[in-house]
Amino acid sequence: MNPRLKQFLQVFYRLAQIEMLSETQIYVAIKIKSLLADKTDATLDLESLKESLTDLPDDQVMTVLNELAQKKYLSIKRGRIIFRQYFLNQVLHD
Amino acid sequence: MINWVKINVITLVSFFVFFLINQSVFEIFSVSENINWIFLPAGLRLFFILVYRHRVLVGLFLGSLLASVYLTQETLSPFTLCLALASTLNPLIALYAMEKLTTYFNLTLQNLTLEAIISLAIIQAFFSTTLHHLIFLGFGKTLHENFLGELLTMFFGDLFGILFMLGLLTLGFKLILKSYKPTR
Repeated sequence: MNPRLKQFLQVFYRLAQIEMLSETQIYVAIKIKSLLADKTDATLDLESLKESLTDLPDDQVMTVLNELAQKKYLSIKRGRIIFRQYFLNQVLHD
Repeated sequence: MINWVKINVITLVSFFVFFLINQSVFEIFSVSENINWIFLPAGLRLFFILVYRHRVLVGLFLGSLLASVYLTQETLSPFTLCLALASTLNPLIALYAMEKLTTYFNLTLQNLTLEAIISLAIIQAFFSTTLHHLIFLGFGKTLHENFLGELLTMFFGDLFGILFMLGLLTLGFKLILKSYKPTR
């Protein structure tokens, strides 16, 4: 595929993905983005994410994380959330 | 060479088809024979120039020429030729202006963002409106008392046309994503 065509289509693919997210998912994603801004690795401690999202109950945070995990944007292993580079660089890019 | 012919034929046909669709579907938004509140082919022009740049100039020119002849019911004339030329060149001018004026856009489209595409759409609408109205004025096709109104309508028509096309593209991807079930 023409590389410029690929870049062009990717913009709308990302936009469609973002539009498919609920308001709570977007809220959590923005929080994740800000928490990862100062970090060198793409992982977060699950408990510290829950603490930083004080306005959301823990079970709702878990629901959102599981929904994002279903979309394969992240995985949760032993209390750590590992984000896919695609989610960070592409979906959260905009 | 075969690829060049193919992409130009695709450009010409799709431009003219979208023009005809625009004429029938959005006829109610038309304010004069040349000006409409929604002009879908503007989005197509931007897409082809962004992706294929100079390679599609012939297809765009011929598509625009066909549209101009169809609209004005004139045979080939200096007026229709100038309209087609303006229509072809304005997205290319917008592309290079955008590259020169901003730091977040480059011609390879690396790290292209929605913000850059919308900025480009505004610049293209500006150049399209300016060039077309210079031609209308030059050929005495614009009533001077309507000048500002027609100018604004054309600007927003191009802009809405581009945004409408981009919206359709996003909707297409959303439908694909909705039908996609990730395997675990």
